[in-house]
Amino acid sequence: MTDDRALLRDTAAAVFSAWAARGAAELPDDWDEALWLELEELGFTLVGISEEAGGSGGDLAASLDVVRAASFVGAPIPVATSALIAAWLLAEAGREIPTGVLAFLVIDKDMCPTVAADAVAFGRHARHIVVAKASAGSVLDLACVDRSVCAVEPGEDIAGEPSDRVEFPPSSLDFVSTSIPVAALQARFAIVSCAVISGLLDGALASSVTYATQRAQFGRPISRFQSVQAMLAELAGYASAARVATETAIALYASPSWELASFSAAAYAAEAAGPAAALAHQIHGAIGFTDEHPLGRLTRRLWAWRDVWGNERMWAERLGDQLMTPDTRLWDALATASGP
Amino acid sequence: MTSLLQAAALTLPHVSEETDALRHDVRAFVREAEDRGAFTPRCDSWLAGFSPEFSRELAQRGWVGMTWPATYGGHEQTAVARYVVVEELLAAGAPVAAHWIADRQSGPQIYRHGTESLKRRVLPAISRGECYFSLGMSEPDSGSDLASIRTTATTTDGGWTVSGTKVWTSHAHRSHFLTALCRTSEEDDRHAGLSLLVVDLASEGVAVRPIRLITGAHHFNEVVLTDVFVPDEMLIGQEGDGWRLVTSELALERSGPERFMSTYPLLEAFAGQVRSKSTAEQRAALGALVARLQALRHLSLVVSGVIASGGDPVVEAALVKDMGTRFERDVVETARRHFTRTGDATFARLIDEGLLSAPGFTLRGGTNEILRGIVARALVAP
Ligand SMILES: Cc1cc2nc3c(=O)[nH]c(=O)nc-3n(C[C@H](O)[C@H](O)[C@H](O)COP(=O)(O)OP(=O)(O)OC[C@H]3O[C@@H](n4cnc5c(N)ncnc54)[C@H](O)[C@@H]3O)c2cc1C
Repeated sequence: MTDDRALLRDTAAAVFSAWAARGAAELPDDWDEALWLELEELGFTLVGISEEAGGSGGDLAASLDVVRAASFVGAPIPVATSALIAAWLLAEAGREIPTGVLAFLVIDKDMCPTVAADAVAFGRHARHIVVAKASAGSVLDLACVDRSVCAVEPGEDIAGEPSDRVEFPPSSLDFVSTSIPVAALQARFAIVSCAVISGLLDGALASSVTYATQRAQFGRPISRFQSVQAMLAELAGYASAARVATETAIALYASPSWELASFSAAAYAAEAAGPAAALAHQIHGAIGFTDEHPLGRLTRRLWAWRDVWGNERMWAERLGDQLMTPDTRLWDALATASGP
Repeated sequence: MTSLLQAAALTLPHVSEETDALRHDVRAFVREAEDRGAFTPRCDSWLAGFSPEFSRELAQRGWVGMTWPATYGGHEQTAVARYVVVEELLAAGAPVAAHWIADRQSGPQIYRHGTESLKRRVLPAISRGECYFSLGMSEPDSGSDLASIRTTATTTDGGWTVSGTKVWTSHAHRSHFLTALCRTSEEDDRHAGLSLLVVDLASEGVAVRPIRLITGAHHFNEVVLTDVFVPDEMLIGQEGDGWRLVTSELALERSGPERFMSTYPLLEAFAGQVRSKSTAEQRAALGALVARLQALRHLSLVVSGVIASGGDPVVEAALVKDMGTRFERDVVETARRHFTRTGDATFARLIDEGLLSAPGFTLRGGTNEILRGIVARALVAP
């Protein structure tokens, strides 16, 4: 790991742990504007976007480190969608990136020009909404809409985060074609959701380890019970593997194996999220099932993120589809030259 | 807390162009060997595929004893290079059992801690693919609780006299040496007073009897040692080092790709079935297994990188083995659920091989229950 990367990780970890230290009862579930402004100040809301494009610089690894640090504490801010999807799309298209929260939406290519869309994450807090649709030739058309012209009807997702219905007035969707392949966005979805889930799993593991060593029953810490140990070990397995899958995909970014690695990472993480959340809750007993304890912020987000841009079944199928080349061996696709 | 379990630190080992070239060579060789009928791919080939001829062929190409110095017949390669060779061989289901234990475990142990004469005696022979080892740990009354073993070694003129019974000893009927964990003194601490001795299986007083597997196959043995003389030079490390030595080789024993690739040949055949006539459901089932396999491969590579840089990642290795052995079994269950057995005889045979070897996956080299205890204790250690 480079020194720069370590420094960024430490800074991000410090910001988010200070935020989390305020205590579960003090922390909003759905949006924390002060936190967002602090991140904006630090450049974290545009990390991974080059300075020429109006971002704060840093590579994919750096931006995913911020995402993981935010996820580690279940922070209610849309850094993953705003910085890593919406701003990234605008930068890729060579468009100007407006300030403030960016929401993001993909629409079906036939829905234009008048649309109403459900489940726009953080729609009500966005200044702009980036809308993508596939055009002929498997590239994306993009529109960047000022949110204030839209009607927003609030909703929420399973994590309690804003998931709003947005109505775009006729003619507000002014699509411009780009050369961004649809496949590039898919791979982006995959790596981002894996990174988010990886951060959440690490958070759930850390919380479980702490709880198991502090909680005593039958006169000893519950971490001394073998069945609790088995749950901790299993949880650690999910968390470590998701972390390694994220790192591997990052290492293969832009290589010929990139899509396979990112789909693989997403399929693994989405599959791990459910059983890992169940293990973490079992280890925490009743307290983990209350809003007095931070675990719920993590598990509710695990349940949300494993379904965000495709669930484990869909990622696995996309991965399987990539492996259907006739007259080749599976192994040749998995252990490639120059790949880890 | 150890590195792999920590949220922050994680370094993927660097895979160079040299390893790419090596991978290419090994792959070309095993495919050619398969085509000429030198072997038929099978599940669990690292334990069940015993072929001295094939081991010698690999050795001629420099793929046995890769990591130790040329003075001992080795090839001075990195752990990552060895990793690449080993995973190519396992992916092909090639018969590598004969030299497996010597190459993975006993050789490196002897290289690091053996006497000079022992090194000269066995390491070059291992590198030639001609010298095979068995592990003499388990006993009738000592399985998971290894420190309770009762085989004893007492000093005698010029060496040791060893007596006791070892069980489940893989391939002892065709190996040349046994590394036997023996009690050399009674101490209050039961982890003290244990020593690791290399027993020549051709010695007087060694009796090897088959213990048949559920299939009737002869793999396991009972090895009865009756006043067997073992010269001083065959002691690994110092007297009393036995526990430290066997636990330090656990990282080598538990983190390698054989802990999640025992059923890889079946996964390859499953992919072939999916490719020829599949539904979306079946493609998703394949994708889900591949996602797990890739995560395990990269975890295991990280661990081999830690070993290469001089670390001793016993805890991480336990984690890989626990997850990996469960994966090996899930490959079999998924493959058999998605296609009928009729139609493809190879696919059906691989399923049977997988199923019939699966009970061993989660037992050998430390049971999964024991492994999870190791991981959890490291997690909660203050
Ligand atoms: C295919 C195969 C090859 C092998 N090859 C060799 C070899 O070459 N050389 C060699 O020395 N040995 C070999 N073994 C033996 C292997 O090391 C032992 O099987 C293993 O250590 C477990 O010991 P056991 O079989 O006596 O089971 P036991 O230790 O009796 O365990 C039985 C059950 O109890 C559980 N258990 C035991 N203690 C605990 C505990 N403290 N907490 C929770 N659960 C516990 C175990 O997890 C297991 O489920 C081989 C085994 C297999 C299956």
